[in-house]
Amino acid sequence: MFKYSRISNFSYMIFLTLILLFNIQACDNVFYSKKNIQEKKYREAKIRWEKLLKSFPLPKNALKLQHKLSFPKKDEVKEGIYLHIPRYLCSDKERNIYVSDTRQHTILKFDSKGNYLNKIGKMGQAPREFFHPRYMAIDNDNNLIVHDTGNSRIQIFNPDGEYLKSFKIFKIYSTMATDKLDKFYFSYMSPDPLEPLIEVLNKDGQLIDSFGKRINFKYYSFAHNEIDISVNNNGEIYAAWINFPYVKRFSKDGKLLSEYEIKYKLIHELSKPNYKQKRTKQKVVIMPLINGIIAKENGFYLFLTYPRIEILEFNLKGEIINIFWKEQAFEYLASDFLVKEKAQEKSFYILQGSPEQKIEIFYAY
Amino acid sequence: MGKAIKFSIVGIILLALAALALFNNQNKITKDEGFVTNKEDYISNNIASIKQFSLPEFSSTDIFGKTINTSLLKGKKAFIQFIDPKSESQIEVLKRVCQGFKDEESTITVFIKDSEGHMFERFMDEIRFALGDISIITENYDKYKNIFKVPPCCETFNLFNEKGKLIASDLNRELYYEKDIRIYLNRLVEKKNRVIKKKKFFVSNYIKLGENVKNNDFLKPLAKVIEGEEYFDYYVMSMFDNVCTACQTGKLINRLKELHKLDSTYIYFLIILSDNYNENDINNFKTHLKISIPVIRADKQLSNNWNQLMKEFSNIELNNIIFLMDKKGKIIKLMEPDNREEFFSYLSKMSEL
Repeated sequence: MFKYSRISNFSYMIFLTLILLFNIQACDNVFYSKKNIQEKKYREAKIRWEKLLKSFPLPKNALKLQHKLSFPKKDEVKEGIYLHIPRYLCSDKERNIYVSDTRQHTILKFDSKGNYLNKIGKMGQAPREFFHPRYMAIDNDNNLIVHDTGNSRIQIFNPDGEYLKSFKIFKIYSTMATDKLDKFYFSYMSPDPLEPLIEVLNKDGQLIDSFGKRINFKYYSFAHNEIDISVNNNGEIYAAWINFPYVKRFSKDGKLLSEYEIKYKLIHELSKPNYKQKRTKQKVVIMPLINGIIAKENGFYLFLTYPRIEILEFNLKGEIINIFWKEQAFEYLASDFLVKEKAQEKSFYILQGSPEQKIEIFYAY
Repeated sequence: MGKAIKFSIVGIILLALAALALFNNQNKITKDEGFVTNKEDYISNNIASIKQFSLPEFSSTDIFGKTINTSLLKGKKAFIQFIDPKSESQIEVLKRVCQGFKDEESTITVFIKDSEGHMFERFMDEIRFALGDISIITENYDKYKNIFKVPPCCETFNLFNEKGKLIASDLNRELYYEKDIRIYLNRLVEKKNRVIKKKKFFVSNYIKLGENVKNNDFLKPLAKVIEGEEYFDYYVMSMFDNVCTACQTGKLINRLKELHKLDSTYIYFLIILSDNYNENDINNFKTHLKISIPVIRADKQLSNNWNQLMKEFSNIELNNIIFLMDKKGKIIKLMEPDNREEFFSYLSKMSEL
């Protein structure tokens, strides 16, 4: 047994401090071990997510979405009808649903009850083949318009899925919409903030108009003007910024009608890091706030997917008139949505990308 | 005495913690190793080890109870694929390999990600025709992924030669799995009896300085183009297979437009688009990009030559071909990836003369 009195209190304290520091570093290494590194990130993200859910509770009048059905159905999956990496939804005049699958390089068509109808295309470069198909829209003749991203072209199909025509595109289009006059609206990524926000093409791919101003920051990046667009039955074009709380409404000839700044606490909180990025050169990961917009005659819907699924309904003044929501697990990811209105009834189609890949239909009561 | 015991106990605990810390330090890794989120990151972090990779030691049992190990695979060409049965394109790769690659000198081994449920059943249905020729392993998927250096994010395939050396892998590329796979598999299937190496396209191997286009196998059809325009002294030929304004091609076209503005009297600029573009697309190209440079579509013969090279290499490598030639068709300057600035300043000086 050694005599403790030989070790002075001072040197013992130094020894203790060194050991503690050593252990703090060791703990850090434990966190960054191969096994735990992703778990740590996962835990942190989950804590952040839980905190947001607690800090931004839903208002009492928010309407909970009631699940009605999901598809593709299990027996269809057995037959090879499934979604792998589904990206976007679109609906035709007969309320059929199209979904683009960028991993299968195909478009799947379902009826309004979720029954599988057919598949359009496969991977390739020939007509009726795709490479990473993404955005879709329906023209006035109920034809399907597909943005075949990897082949830099737009392909058009009749309602039976037969190939009609295609044209090449020369910009990196990031969203697409059509109106009753068969004008195609696109937003595109540009290194020049002075370029117009939206381009209008006709059915042959000819550029017929362009309008809208991009938001410009000192340190401009493509991400600042990433938008989603939607056209309502009156031909008015709505543009929602994905990473900032702005929505603009344009007339059919491209005149700015309204400009909205979305005043919703959750969006305000989530947008803070994105503003930081615009003020400094510091690299901050841009956080998408709004995952989609759907225009209607007297307002619009915005689709939020984090920290919970929320569909905000706005009137023409930019005021929130309804909030529809659904519970979700942390792992849940949704990539697109659709809203169907029939008399007083509203149905919502949500495209789930993770943990399962399916389209879910909800009702709001 | 009581104090001494307490201090001793504290000291022992601290020493134990120090030992634990030392142990953890041995397992220390850098932060980046754990954050593999996509195949591209993985490739850039591991390119050196991928190139040196050889058939690793492993032993497993396939779904029919047969032992599959390294010594069984050595001495033959070994195609090893990791498959997510949800991915049609990955199954397509396997089907094509089974159809085109199978012979007595090769083995095909497949590791399946998810061996339960409908997707696996579907996979088995699709591959039923080749079940006798392939070994399917469904156990310890993650463990074997690690052994074969497959990135955690994705699935890949590797081809090893008879000596166990890696001769082909879809990791050793920078392109998307699906798009490039077709070109690659063509090579894999068609040239199954040769050693397969990833070839890179060097424009200077196909377009040589001082050569006349009339004698160039690839560009011969372009000789016709200058026949009608002989009143120019020089010709800047630019060939594009895919155009997007925010990409490299867009920047190159802008440079050409600037030069064209400087001088269009004795230098003839011509943009040639591949047969991906029809007449309507060419008109749209001119209006979208506000181009006054003449634009044509590659004729049948040039398209054939161009497409043939694209099959062998890739569309991306065969895009953005720009060169300068004189009125007799002699190639006098060629744009290459590492001399773009020099090429354009040369053209710029010529335009100012």
